[in-house]
Amino acid sequence: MGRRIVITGGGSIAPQATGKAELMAKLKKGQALYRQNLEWSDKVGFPVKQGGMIDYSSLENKFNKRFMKQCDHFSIHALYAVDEAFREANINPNQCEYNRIGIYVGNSAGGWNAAGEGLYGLKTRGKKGISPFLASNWFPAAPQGHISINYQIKGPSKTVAGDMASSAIAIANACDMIKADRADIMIAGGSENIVTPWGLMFYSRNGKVNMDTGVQTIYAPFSRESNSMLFSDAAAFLILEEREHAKSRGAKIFGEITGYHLNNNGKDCSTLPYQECIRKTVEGKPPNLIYLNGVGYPEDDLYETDALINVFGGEISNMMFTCPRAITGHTYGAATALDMVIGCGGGNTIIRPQRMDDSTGLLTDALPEIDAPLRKKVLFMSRGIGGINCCIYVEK
Amino acid sequence: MISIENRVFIKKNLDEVFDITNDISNWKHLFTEYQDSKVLHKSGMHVTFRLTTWPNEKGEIYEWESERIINKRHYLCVALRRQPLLPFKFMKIVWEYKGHGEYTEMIWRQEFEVDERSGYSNQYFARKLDGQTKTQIAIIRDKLEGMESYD
Repeated sequence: MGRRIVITGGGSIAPQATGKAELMAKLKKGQALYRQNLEWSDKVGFPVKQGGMIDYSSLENKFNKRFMKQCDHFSIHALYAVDEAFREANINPNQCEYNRIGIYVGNSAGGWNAAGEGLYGLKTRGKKGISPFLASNWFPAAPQGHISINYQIKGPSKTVAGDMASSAIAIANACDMIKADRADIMIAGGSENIVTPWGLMFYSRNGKVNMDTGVQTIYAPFSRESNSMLFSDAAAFLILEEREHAKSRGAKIFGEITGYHLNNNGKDCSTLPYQECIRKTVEGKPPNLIYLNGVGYPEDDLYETDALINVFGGEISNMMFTCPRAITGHTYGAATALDMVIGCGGGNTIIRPQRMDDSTGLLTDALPEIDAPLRKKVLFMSRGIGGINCCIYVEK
Repeated sequence: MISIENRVFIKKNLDEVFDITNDISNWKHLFTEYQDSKVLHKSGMHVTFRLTTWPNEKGEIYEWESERIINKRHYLCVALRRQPLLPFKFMKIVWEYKGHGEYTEMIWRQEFEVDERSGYSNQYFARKLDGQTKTQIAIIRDKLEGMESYD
């Protein structure tokens, strides 16, 4: 058997949940982390009223204020989550071989706070209104650069833009780096900051968001009532490590990534490519628990459940399903990494799984609470608009 | 994957065409190929239904269940055949509606792949479904245009 990949740490920041412990506490309460009313939405006359924003000022005790002003939010969020992940993994990067640590970041939008401010500055004050930091702040690879500079990491690193599958692809690609013996440790995850006027203006045009102010937005994936996607900001990162490397330093191992697959639909509008992605990920080992992509838009949810029902058939009725995004909001390019931090990052992770009705693809009554990391075989689903499919399989 | 597309212009307003053609329990009257169209469950945009055909020349009757999402916000419907899936590996139908003044354009797209176990080819079903759709879509147009408007 070749080099094996284990998870030895995780960190996150999400709306109303600065750090993993707070996130787990909120998940346990089942309390939605997004806001019902975005204050700025009415000011700019924007039809999307709901979303999950991270309180940037809450990080001022963690980062230098001047540095925070020089960075876009999604970079600071990423640095926070990576720091937490390193601490949980009990790794001091300064004591590691810099060339054997790499960074893979998933991001779809880029730094749209900075981009929005830049455009506003250009409009109101001309070119003098543009921050000199704009160029290095807005582009999607900015968090990767900041992580690299902050920890002096020199191993294989890249930023992946793959819509909602961004962080899943980043994690899958990071696994490839460890398998190919190009790294012993990979920091992999995603950071996304869409909930800004400028970001939502673009992303709400994907046809999945309720733009009708006369209709209440209901984001409840895999329910009959759900009618819209709902965005939240987040950053979430995992520490992936070659198994023997982790064992030799006595690291706590939260799970092993035993399967992953990435493919694209091309012009195929059917669920067959997604089915193939699931099949190649699980390789005949049905999971106990499945974390769903959960766009919340009926057409997309139907597509996801159709793929699962076709792959697992009658076994579906014995499986458990969860979609923490119903509580956090869909964190888009960071979503799978956040699911994985919840699902196998350790800590007091309590989730309320549900069963799936295999005749309708809808989630049914909630099952009793379970401790997520105790699940033996967990499948993480992700799919970007247009058909970028990526699944990851973790075994305890 | 096979994709076939058909479209028709109906002299009736967009909302009426959308509502009438998505009244599934009435499909046994709207289409000439179904002897029964039964809604099994309906909630919000989501409908589960069963269709039963008239006997064919061999006396065979076919019946299957499907899921349909009726999205009036985007004048878009998506249906997936559920059970039995055979003779298909999958069957997805998308109906799209566009208003053009007093006319409504109705576009039907069928995407499917035939299961080899059925003994039929993709090409066979492409020809068959394309022919049936052209016939049915014209019948529906004539019926709708012959109906009195709501207003």
